[in-house]
Amino acid sequence: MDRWTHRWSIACLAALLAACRTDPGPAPEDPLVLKGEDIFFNETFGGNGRTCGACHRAEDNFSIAPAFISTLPADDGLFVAETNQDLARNFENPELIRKFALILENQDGFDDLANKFNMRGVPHTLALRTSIESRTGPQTGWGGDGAPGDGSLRAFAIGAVVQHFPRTLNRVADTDFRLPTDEELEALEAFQLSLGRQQDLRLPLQLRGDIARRGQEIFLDGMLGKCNACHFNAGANADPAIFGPGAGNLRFDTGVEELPDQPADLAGEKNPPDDGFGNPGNGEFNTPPLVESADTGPFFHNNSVETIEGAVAFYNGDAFNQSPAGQLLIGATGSAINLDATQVIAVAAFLRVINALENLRAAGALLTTASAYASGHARQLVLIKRARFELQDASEVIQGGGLHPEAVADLRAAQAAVEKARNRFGRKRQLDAAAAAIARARGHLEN
Amino acid sequence: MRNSLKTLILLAGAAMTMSAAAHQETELYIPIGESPGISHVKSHIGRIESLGAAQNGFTMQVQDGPKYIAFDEKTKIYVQYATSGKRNRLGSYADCQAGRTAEVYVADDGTVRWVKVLMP
Repeated sequence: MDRWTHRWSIACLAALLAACRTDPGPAPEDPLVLKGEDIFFNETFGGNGRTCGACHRAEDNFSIAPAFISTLPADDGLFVAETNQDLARNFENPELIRKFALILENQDGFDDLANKFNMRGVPHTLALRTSIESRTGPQTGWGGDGAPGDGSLRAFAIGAVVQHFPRTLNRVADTDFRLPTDEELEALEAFQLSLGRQQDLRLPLQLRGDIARRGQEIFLDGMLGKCNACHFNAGANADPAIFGPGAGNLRFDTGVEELPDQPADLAGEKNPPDDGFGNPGNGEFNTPPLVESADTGPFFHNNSVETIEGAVAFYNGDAFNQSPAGQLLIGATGSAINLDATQVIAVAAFLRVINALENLRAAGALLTTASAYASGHARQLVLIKRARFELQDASEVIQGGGLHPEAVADLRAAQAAVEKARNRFGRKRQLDAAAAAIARARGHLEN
Repeated sequence: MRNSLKTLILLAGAAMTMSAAAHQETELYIPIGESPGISHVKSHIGRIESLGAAQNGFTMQVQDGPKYIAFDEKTKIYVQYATSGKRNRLGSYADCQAGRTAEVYVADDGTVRWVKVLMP
């Protein structure tokens, strides 16, 4: 393939992918997206060495979990508080990072660093195009208030640099960090919006597994699971039939802070209560999308629940049912959420299967894009590597729930082909083999 | 059930969505004129000309001429030392002095959310 044919193929692919979206942004391989990707993973903004990718790891679903952290070298930027004396106190809590992947945030101000902070997990940056808009503007971060300025995703990067990138806690611009330029903000926004799903599902899906199919029924049942009211179509937005058209992403006080025996508290480390949105906070946190949930635990803003089954079971407990959101639901439906163990497992199975389907979609798209590049192009390896992560996640998510054993062989075949595709010789054949195995695996999960 | 759910949650939803505002705390460290989506769009930047008699605001020179900026109890004052590299800090009305450069963010509802004052 000559250079022009190659570029034309990529342009056609990009146009095709863009046409499938409801709100098309730059195509995945658009130069602006690629520039944003480079900034996201490599730019330190003159700070302490961290990049956006220090916490939002491509290998870990653009989030970060304790198991992944345990594989990192001691000089990784994540651990800068352990290696930079200027950041040794009141910047991070190394023990809580290592044990629970909790990152220190001063969202209520920087005037009392020793006492005024919260420990939060790292929210993934997948499917942002579907999940941050609301009637009152963008909802970013766990509290819906993660950005300075106009609160936009574009502005979010500036807040992140100020919070997480400084050389010292003086946080003086152009000394401890530099602020991103307008061009960098634009590119970062384009890259983040390109990640993951570009549109919400339309439930119900024609699922093949009995347990996941029952889980979907419970999820959609307004008197049983009651999940779909706030996680419409298993996304991050509220049901427009209930909350009105265009409600988008809403915040709720669901009582997560009231959970007893939270892991970070059990560790004996200082862990002030998190008051959520605003300053002072009102206890509300915004609604995360669920399609990506099964492979992005631990769950909730404080990483307080390790498994997807535990996250579903949370809505059975006192913390939720006595919370403002829980009381609202009881008032509206006449009862609390009260799922038995088999029903909890079924809803979790449903979430596992739709997560795996999204993994397979993403892997397929990445491999298709990789195929459009000339064989041996350096970009192919980047895309193949990400597809490998997606397939690994699909496999773990399915097997972790004891689901669809018939799909495991095809997932393994897809993974093996992708592994072989790292070698440029015979790459096209391996990419085709991987795509076929992905299609077969998908066929086991959904009609 | 659907109607009662809709009614109750509509009310709650309306209440929840009225309180939205972007988190502002990192504004303390964002230099005057560089707040994304705010500076040069919803803010005024100029020199403080005179202080209000009731200590609830000041007159500043903006593009259209002098403008009185009225604070309320929620207005935050950020003191910046960008020129000398010192650490920025939360300030008070006493930091607003005639002659100093300031940036003022006036929200859509007309309230002054924050004032950044540049110290000499």
